[in-house]
Amino acid sequence: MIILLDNLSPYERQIVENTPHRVIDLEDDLLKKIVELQEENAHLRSEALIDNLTGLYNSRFFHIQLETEMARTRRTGLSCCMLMIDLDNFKMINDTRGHLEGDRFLTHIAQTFSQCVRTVDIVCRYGGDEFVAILPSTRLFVAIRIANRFKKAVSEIPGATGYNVSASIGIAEFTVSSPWGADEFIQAADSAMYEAKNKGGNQVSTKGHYIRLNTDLESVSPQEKEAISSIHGGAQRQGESDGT
Amino acid sequence: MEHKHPVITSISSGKGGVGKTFVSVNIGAYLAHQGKKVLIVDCDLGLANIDVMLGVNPRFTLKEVVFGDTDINDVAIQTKHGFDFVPASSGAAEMVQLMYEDIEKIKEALGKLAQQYDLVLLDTGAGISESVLQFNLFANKNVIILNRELTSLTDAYATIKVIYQTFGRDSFNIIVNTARNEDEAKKIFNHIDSICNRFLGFSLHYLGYIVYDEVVPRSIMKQEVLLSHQNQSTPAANFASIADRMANWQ
Repeated sequence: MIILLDNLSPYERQIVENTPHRVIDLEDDLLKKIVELQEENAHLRSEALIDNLTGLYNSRFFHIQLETEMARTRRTGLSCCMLMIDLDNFKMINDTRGHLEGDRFLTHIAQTFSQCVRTVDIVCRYGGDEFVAILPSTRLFVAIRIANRFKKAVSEIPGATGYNVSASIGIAEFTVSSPWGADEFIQAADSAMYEAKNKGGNQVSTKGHYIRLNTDLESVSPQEKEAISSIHGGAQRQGESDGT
Repeated sequence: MEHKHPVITSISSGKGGVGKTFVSVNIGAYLAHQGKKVLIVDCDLGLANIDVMLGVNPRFTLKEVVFGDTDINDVAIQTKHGFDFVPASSGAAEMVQLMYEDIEKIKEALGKLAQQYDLVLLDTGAGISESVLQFNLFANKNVIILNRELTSLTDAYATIKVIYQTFGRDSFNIIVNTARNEDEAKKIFNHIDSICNRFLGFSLHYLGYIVYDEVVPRSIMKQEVLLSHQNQSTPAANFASIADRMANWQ
């Protein structure tokens, strides 16, 4: 570069020396634009996926994430659970104290819910006074513990007992052998939640697809059964023939 | 009280009548005789039978831990064979359909009690109920017992597959019971091992075999362990060989 510059006229030198600055300036502008666009995108995305009132994820995000977690269960074999929550008697607050007070209470519930779950769990406001959580890599008995923790925490929120507000919680477990799609998984949690409500509220109910192999070996495929049966001429037949 | 780091081992089979209890009791007796502190837990919650095999009549069972306020330490009893034993109740309908919280309660109680032992053997029930799965998850070593019968092989495979798919476990130790001889036992093991490799993508560990011998049914009838009255028999030697391998487990 230095040798080249020596061979240039002063005018040519000036142009060459200014060029890098201009390129850097252009790059700077471009980077700024990219950052601005990224920030704008993140903002738009959060607007679309975050619930304005509570700051939790919204139902749109819940549906996206549910597919991801079900796919993870199918790949890893580790169950995931869904907690569907409906507040009992919440309407009383809205009707007697107004919607602003109702909103404040919902925000309090959202904070309580977030404190009761683990950092890996995904907590969403499903709509109105309904909340939902996806618990990745979690068996039903752990989900029950988390649900009970939340149920207790709701009863301790100031004002909750005055209005008799409590939580009805439905839990569904999705295992690798569950025949459910996302809709059926939600329906299972929903139906468990209604069961909890019908029992008088302030309850935890569960639904799951359980493997029962005592009578029929549904988990063993025909190919596997055939392979197992192929233990020819050896132990099995001899053993059966002499009755040992 | 001294806190140990016990090896908690589940003994399952899928099919019933394969010899889980007899194997658990004889391994427990042998290792207790070798100086290990051993606890055997009857995890067949609805149809418990180790108490019958041991000829004991327990005052408390796991039922009183789940539904009462009985401390697990009061449930564990000493046996004449050297190991301690936690009985379950037989024929208690409420124990067959335990809630998750109940199984969790048993696991927590056993977790505390286990700290006093070198080895804890969980003799699970037949089938693949939720409680069988939970005890397999609770254990850090999983033993599967099978014999030459096709139904036993299929149920053992189903048990392995479900535990693998539910919890991601892929390390199982196999005991072949009532084999004619070592060759036959190895053949049965190799067969089930090749099927696991082919369909599930992992290998099994061969823990040993127990030869079929008339001393076994006689021993069960007398409610005795082989160590105490048939310690020169071939099955007793088979048990010793299996137990010695288990004694090295960390």
